[in-house]
Formats: sequence, structure tokens, C-alpha cells
Amino acid sequence: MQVITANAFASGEVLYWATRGWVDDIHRAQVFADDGEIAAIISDANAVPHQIVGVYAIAVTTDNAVITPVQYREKIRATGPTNYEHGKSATGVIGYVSL
Amino acid sequence: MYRYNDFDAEFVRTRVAEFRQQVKRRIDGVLTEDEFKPLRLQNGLYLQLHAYMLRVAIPYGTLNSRQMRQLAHIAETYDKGYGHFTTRQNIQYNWIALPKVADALDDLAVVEMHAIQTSGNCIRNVTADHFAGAAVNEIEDPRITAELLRQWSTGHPEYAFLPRKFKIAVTGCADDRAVVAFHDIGLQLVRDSSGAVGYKVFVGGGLGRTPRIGRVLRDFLPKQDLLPYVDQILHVYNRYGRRDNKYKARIKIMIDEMGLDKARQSIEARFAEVKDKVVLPSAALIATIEDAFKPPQFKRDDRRLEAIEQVFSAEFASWLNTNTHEHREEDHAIVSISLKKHGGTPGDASADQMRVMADLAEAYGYDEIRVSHEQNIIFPHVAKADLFNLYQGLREVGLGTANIGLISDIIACPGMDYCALATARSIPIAQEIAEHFDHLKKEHDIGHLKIKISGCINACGHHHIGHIGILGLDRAGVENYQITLGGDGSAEASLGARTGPGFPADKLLWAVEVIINTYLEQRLNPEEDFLACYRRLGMTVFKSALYPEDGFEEQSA
Repeated sequence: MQVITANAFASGEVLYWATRGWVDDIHRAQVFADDGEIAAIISDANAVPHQIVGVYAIAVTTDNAVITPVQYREKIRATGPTNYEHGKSATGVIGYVSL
Repeated sequence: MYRYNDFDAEFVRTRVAEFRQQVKRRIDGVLTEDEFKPLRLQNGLYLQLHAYMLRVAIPYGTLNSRQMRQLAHIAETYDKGYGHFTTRQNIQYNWIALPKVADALDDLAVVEMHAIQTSGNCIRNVTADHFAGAAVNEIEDPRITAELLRQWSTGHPEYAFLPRKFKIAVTGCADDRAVVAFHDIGLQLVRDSSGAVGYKVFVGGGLGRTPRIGRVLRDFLPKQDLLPYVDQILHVYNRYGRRDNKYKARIKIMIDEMGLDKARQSIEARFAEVKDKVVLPSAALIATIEDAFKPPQFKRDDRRLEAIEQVFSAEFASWLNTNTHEHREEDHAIVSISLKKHGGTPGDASADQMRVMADLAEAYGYDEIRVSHEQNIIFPHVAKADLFNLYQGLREVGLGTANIGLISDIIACPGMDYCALATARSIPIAQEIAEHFDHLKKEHDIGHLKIKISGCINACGHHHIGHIGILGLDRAGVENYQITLGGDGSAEASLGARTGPGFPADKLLWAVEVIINTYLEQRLNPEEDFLACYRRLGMTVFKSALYPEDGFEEQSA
């Protein structure tokens, strides 16, 4: 399972591809069961100026619509920094990261 | 301190105007990200995990109160109300929006600051001893050298595309607080047998994935030869440094591969060739720089510190003990303000705290502020009679922590909470260790101990030179931490040795506690600090305590 992620062009905020556009919450991301459409979506996204930067696909697991990145780095990107309630840590995206 | 002349001011203004246009062209879609990225990096703007990060240069870590207030203004106006002071004596803002970055840079230029050469393969911000101008055994203020190097290296056309980044540090005395042995070039001011002042020149030191202690290139370099000699080091590096592999591109690898003798021959041969032909900085320029770093007119105050100490609290006495250092003037002290409140993020200061520090520096610190590579703030000159008032002012905003040089005074890079390169988090590890030993009320008993934490092999947290070093890695998707012991960034430079296999995040505190308890059991007396104890005992006793199942106690060191 994969989702497509990038950073917002102006703010740098972490975004996810959600069928018709970019969203800031991983739980609303479109989940891809295989690589089929991913390359085309990434290519289209890169072709649109000043929207996103650094688009790529990440591995996730899903459980009752809860989407969890596999890589630790992506968990932090999805939920925000763990030392302050800033960015996604302040907006209440479900946290996965504890020490 | 050094003030911009017309050239400096115009240079910075022009550069901001140029970058403003580049940002506009990016926003208008004229520049692609691939085209824009090197331009933004040249202006200190990184894209991190959650947002853009702006790294602002603080030359040799020196600020005045006006600049500190402007850093507070930028934190509030363009960021989330705080800034992060770094191990390079700089400040980073973690939440800068691209369309606003040129405004922030304009605001910085108002107080003679910028973000130029804080990234990229160029000569970076020159760092110096944070006790400069106040240290007891100082031969000369190292900032005079650092400023000369800053002027020479800023916008240097030949060195804008070096094989890799290049860092220079300067110390004015034998007590090395600038970590000169771990920089591409380290300069230590020394005297020769005739008493003349010059430099001991180290080259090819560094941390990162290939840690190296700097090698001595020259035992004595006359002062007037500084720029032509450094120029030839850079010239040889620019010519022979590797460009085929970024992990082998630092000058330390060039020295490894060429050998120190051959590198020295190349540098000295070039130096002999150009020495009498180069235009040296004028005596007037040198005098202007020297004037800029003259010590303030120290005031004299008849109130005796001892009397003040007796009147006030044990907490103040504790702070005096850890957070003040001997000043060259007997009735003054050097004050370290800890940015390591237990449970806080190492190196972070809020805008309010920055403003209070600015006010206090004006009231009690001759308007001089330094940023240390250990992520604390220094007031280099404080009359002893003013120490209590200063302490009170700091305490009111959470800056009165008495822990300089203790186990909770931890260097930690931003780690995976922010950094795109990180492989594990650093900040929560530092928080957990600091809070734990604070709760146990053991840190004063443990005494002098430097823990340094990096969230990846690039070693921004200087883990190789921590008495206890911690390196965060990704092991199959899980944070894992290697521990090194015996590192030292002071004049007796040494690299830490690995204890053995790493520890998962939830076992790391246990491991640190085992190391500390072993030290407390084994030390000869409380005066034998952790590093001395480790150097006496070696690794085995610590290893056998950490990995008893491996039977290390049966093995020799």
C-alpha cells in the first residue's frame, strides 16, 4: 500500500494526494494498492507550477481508514514535530509517535 | 563589536534584493524547483520535513541587544515565536514561509545580519571562542581573526563552488572552547619563542561520517601571513579535493588520501610562490577591526560579591557555581545563560526570552551577547556586583537553569523532529535524559559531563566529541541509538569509542543510567570527572555493565 506525499510550495507543509487534489491529513489520502497510477500522478503533479515540491510515494499500512506510514520519518512528517504542538502536532492529526 | 561599513551594508541589501527577485520568479513559475534550490540554499533557506527553515549567520557568535531584539521580532513575525540556536553559533527558524523570506532577510539587514553562506559548498560562518575578549589566558581576541576571514571569504568568487562546505574556527587561547581540532581549518593564537603572535594551524579535522582530529599543518604561522596562507589551503583543496563523491569531498579526506606531508608541501610551495605578491589587508583595515573588538570600559563597583551571595538564595549560589566563569577582570564574570531548561528543547529561545536577554545585556552586560556552539547564550562581561540582578531577570523568564557543564547541558541537533537528513530524533532523547537526572537530583553530584546527541551520521550534534555521545540511526524503521564514550572537543581532543550494539529509544535512558552509575561507583573521588574516570579505566568496565550477557567483564579492553 502506498500514498503520494509532497511539501506545499509556499509553506512547505506536508501534503498528501487525495484523488482530486492535495490535502494536509494523511487519513484523507488516496491509497494505492500497486504502482500502477503513481508515476503518472507524480509526473502530473510536477508539471503544475507553484503548488507542491518534492513529490514521492511512501509505503503505508491501513486499518479501518487509519493510514499509518511504515517509515518512522514519514510518521513524523504525518503528525508533526514531537517537541512542540506546532504544524500538524497543533492541528490534531492522530499521533503515532511516542518515545 | 564590528559594525558594517558602507560596502558591507550595500552588499547585504543588494543580495536580499536579488534573492527577492529570485523568490518572485519561483512563485511566478519562471524558475523550477531544481533551478531555485541552489539559489535558496545560497541564502540559507532549506526545505525541512514540515516547512522551510531559514539559517541566519551570527558571525563568530557575537550579537548586540539590538540584533537580539530583531531576532525576536523575526521569530514572532515570520515564525512560531521562537528560534533555535545551533552548534555553529547560528540561529535557525523552523517555520518560514517562502513568500515572506525576503521580508525576513530585509529585517535582518537592518541590524547588519544575513543568511549568506550558511549553506552550500562555500566557506561558512567563521566561528570563535564564545568567551572571546573575556577569557583569562587569551593571547588576543580571536574575533579579530574571524572578522578578517569573514571579510575575505564573503562572496569570494574562487571559493563559491568548493568540493564541499568549509568551516573555519578560531580560538584565542590554549583552552579550546571553539573546537578548532574538528574544523576544516582550526586556528589557535599562539606566541613563538620571541613572543610574536601567530597561529598554530590545524587542517582536516571534522566530524560527520568520517571523524578526524585536525592535523597540525604549521606550529607557527606569523599573523600577517594568515590570509595568503589560508588562501593557499583553500586553493589546494579546491584543486585536489574530490568532487566525484560528496562523502569523500571534505578536506579531511583529501589530507587522508594525499598524506599530510604532501598536502603541506603543496600548500607551502604555493604559499612561497605568492607570499610576496599578494595584496595584504591594509594596516588601517586591521586597525579598524582591532578597534571594533576592544573591551568595553569596565565599570568599578565596590559592592562585594561575597556579601551579595550571603544574602541571597542557595539557588543563586548554585547558578553562580555552574553558570559563571572567571573573567580577566577580577571584579567581573563571564555568564553562561542555559538554553537547556530541564525538559525543554536544547538551544531554543522564545521571542520573549530573546527580548529579556537583550534588555539584560544592555543593563548588565555592556551590550555584548554571544552564542556558544554548545547552544547556550553568553554574556562575556558582567560585573560581579550585578550578578544577582541578572540572575533574577533571567529566572523570571525560565532562563535561570543552573546546569552549565552538567549532564542536562546537552547538545542536540534538531533531529528527525525537523531535519530532512535525520535518521532518528534527538530532542526527546535530550529531554528525557535531562528530566530524569533532574528528578533524581543527581546532576550536581555527577558533575562535569558533556552529552552530545546527533540524529544522523552527519553529526551536527557533535556526538563523536561528547564525553557520552549518542548517535540516532534508523534500524529497520525503528529509532536506534549508538553510544560512544570518551570523546572530547577541548584541547585534549579525542574521538569517542563505541560501546557496542545500539539501544532502542526505550532502552537508551537505562543505558545512560548504567554508564553514570558505573562512573559514580568507579570514580576515585568526586573531583575525578566522568572523562578522567573513563580515560583511567578504559571501555571494558562500562561495556561489561552495559552488555553483561556478553561476558565483557572477562575480556580485556
